[in-house]
Amino acid sequence: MKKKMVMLLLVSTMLTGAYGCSSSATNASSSATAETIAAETTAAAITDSSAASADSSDLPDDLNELFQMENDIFAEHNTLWEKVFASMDKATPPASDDYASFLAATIDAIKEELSEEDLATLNADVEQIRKIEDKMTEVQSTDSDTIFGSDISAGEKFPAFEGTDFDGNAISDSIFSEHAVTLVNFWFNECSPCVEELPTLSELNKTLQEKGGTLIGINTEVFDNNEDAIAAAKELLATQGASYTNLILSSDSEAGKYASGIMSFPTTLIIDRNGNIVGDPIIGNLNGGDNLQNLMDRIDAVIAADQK
Amino acid sequence: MDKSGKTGNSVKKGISFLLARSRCGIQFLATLLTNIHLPNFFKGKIYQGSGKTVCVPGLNCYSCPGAAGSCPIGALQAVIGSSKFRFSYYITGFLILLGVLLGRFICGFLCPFGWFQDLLHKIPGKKFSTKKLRPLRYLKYAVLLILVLILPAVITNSAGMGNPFFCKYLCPQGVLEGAIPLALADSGIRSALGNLFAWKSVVLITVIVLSILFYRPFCKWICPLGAFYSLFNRVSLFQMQVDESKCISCGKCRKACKMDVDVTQSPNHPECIRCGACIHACPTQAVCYHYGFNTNKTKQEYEIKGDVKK
Repeated sequence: MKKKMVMLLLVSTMLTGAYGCSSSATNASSSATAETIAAETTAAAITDSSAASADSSDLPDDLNELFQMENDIFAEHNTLWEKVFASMDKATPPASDDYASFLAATIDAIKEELSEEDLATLNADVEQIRKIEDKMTEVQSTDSDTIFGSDISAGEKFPAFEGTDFDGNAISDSIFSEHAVTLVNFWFNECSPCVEELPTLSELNKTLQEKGGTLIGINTEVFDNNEDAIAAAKELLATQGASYTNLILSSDSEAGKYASGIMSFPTTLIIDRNGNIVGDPIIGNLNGGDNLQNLMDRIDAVIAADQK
Repeated sequence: MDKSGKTGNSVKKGISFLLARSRCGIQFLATLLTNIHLPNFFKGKIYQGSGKTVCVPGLNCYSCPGAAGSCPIGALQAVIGSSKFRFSYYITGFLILLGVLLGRFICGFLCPFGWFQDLLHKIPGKKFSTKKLRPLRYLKYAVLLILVLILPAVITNSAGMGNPFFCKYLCPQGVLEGAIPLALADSGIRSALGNLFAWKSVVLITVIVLSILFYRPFCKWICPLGAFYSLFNRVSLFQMQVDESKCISCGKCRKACKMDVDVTQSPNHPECIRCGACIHACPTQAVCYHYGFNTNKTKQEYEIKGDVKK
């Protein structure tokens, strides 16, 4: 009897969880609900960062949501912000070290072209962005939300690595410092959605190169120079027309162990110039839907932050 | 029947009663052993060790954090859908072995999703009979043939890879054991949930509601693994046996059977999951489990058929 009550309880909590998760995955409220349910139903062993961080502001703790909020602010006063962004090539290089101040300085540089009202609107937006930026810095340093259940989380550094690409050229983690943003895509040969997104990734790489970024792939079957896997991977890349760099790592390197711990494929990470993982990993195929656009928004935010 | 036969029979009946009685406990143990890696539920990780090279007997998702082995249906689709398509000798062979050794005893005693439906059915409320819905049971063979065997082999992408259609579009066990626990613990997966998850959740909720109203609707109408094992019931070593000399044709076993099987007519019917309800219901203890080869049984079947002819 008791066992059956426990089962009923589990079932009803799972259903509540499913209800919470089945509404649009990208809106803030559902992800907050899901996190609350996670905190309530699962044992205290889950470190829920929203419970851990003690902040007085009402901003969310999820980097994705914070990025989205910034984008929403830009979108709200789209025409005004486009003016600001267009002037950035002509604006003086940023003297201050944070994004919000950089925006403020840019606005200041073009204030002659703006009406009183527009200037006030833009400055108000900048203040909001400043709060979001502060929150993001705070979240990035205290975020203990786990990726893949491993100990490496968003805001931490991607493990150092040394390896070669498929043509034998040496590649190491110095690649991060050479680009404003680096996308790392994990895949393997038998993974159907990974293979299907290879053309999209190839296009993305081209777009990134123009913006000072790059994309590299890590195939988890080619560790330790596995000849058969490398041959199969090369064939897949050729069939799908993907020409970007793919790494061969050793399986007992730190990066190799990290990659071996990944259980969902494809997984894409956004790495900034300092080698930090920015935001949550993107899990799943990028073809179709909003996935690619969301990714581009996040990439643009990292590139913009890099320019300060 | 000689004396030793009689003693043998009562021992058998004793064991049968015990087995049928402890079915719920065995189901609990089987579910626990199948999903033994409990800490993973909190870590949001999947066990990826060497245990995963073996399939578990019941329908249990590979992506369940606690899963100790692979899902046989999932594994089947993975091999069939791979670009280097090979007939999956290993998995098919393993399933045939299980079918012959145990048949749908697995459904009745060892499958976690079967237990889930059993528990749901215990929720009080009006229950409906599936007797009139018998044609629906052929649906699961279509699911096995089309979603598990044919589509992953035929619908391939430019690299020759297929998708696991049953896992991807239909299996509710995947949502219950895989998607929900992982999404609760891992924010990356949580943000990847979309329309497909919404659809699968609808399937899960439908199966849950139906399981409260009907007995094991998924096992009867949808499960491809049950469909596969059902083909082996007649040749399996695990059998139901009716003692012709004790049977008084009262029909209580037929009424008790929630899989709509008449054990006196067809003791090894493809739909029989060996749950033992008939064993409990029989007033003369004529029904029991039987394991192994037995020519006596064949004789009994002839005798039963003889009665019917009269």
